[in-house]
Amino acid sequence: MKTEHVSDLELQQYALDPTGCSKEAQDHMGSCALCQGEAATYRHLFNGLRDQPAATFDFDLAEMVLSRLPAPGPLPTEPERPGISTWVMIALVCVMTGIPLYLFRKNIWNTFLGISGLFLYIILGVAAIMVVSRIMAMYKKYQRQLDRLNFT
Amino acid sequence: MNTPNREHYVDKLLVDRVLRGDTQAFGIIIQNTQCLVAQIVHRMIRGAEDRKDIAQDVYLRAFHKLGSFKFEARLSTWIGQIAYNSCLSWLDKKKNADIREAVFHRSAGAFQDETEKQFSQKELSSILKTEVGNLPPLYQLLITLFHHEMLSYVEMGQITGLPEGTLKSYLFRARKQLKENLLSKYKKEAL
Repeated sequence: MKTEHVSDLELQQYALDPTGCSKEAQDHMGSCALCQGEAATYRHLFNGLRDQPAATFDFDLAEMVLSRLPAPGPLPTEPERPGISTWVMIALVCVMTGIPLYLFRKNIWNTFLGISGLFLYIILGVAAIMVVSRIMAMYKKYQRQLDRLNFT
Repeated sequence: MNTPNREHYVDKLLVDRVLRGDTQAFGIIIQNTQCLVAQIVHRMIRGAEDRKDIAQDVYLRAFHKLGSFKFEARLSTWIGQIAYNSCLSWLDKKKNADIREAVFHRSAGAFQDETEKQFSQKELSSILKTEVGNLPPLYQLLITLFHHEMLSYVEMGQITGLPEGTLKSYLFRARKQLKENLLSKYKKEAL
């Protein structure tokens, strides 16, 4: 049986749904009054949160919005499938790139074989830097989004 | 009974009516979904006038984008996502300055010397409301969506765009902070 007290994470899980906890945590909870008390506090808190009155608007939202809508008439919908012109364009691009690639396939292959090791490393290095910088930019953007909501 | 299939059917019916030009059907959509939108807007935006503007903006955007709704989520979840993004844009414009101030003023002086008191259910509800309101907006929103609106992690992810792991981690921290804030002000027995 688990002798040390269960973590706060497990306490919350136990308060929400005891069957979602590990067997060890469940065994411990069965015999530890302190942890049972902590879980009961969380359960009490969750019940209180569930029973909170719902936030409502103190104005007639539907009326306000409907008065600002354009005159009745069908709304534009997005086309479900690409039109025939899209398929023609795709076919044209495939033909335009496929024919030169087929005709010059040997030259293209030789071009890659002829690249020196150093040049290959430079290309791979630049690509790796670009990928890392993109990942860093995405991470920073994500952090900024979270920071906007986490001010205290 | 309000099964997911029935909800999906009702959503489809209402959206089709709106797309054919029946704006009254959009009124029904507003009635059906404004509860979730109100929860999101109230948790993220403090000013009553701003909430009013944002709520209207949410539904005007939803109306104009309704043709692109693909029924991959519930209509209420999709509108909830628009509400969440509208609130984020508003927060961006405001640069958080006035909200920080509002949070500070709300926290200061709330419920002091109450540790010895035994609270009634009504008082407890009021305390909880205040303490939830003192949490960061994201924590408030996640707690409300999970514990009050009973949304799944998938639906919460669709609204906020956050991955499930991040949602769980934030929810855990939000509950812990809420409990610690309450226990620092009130005796456990009083609660």
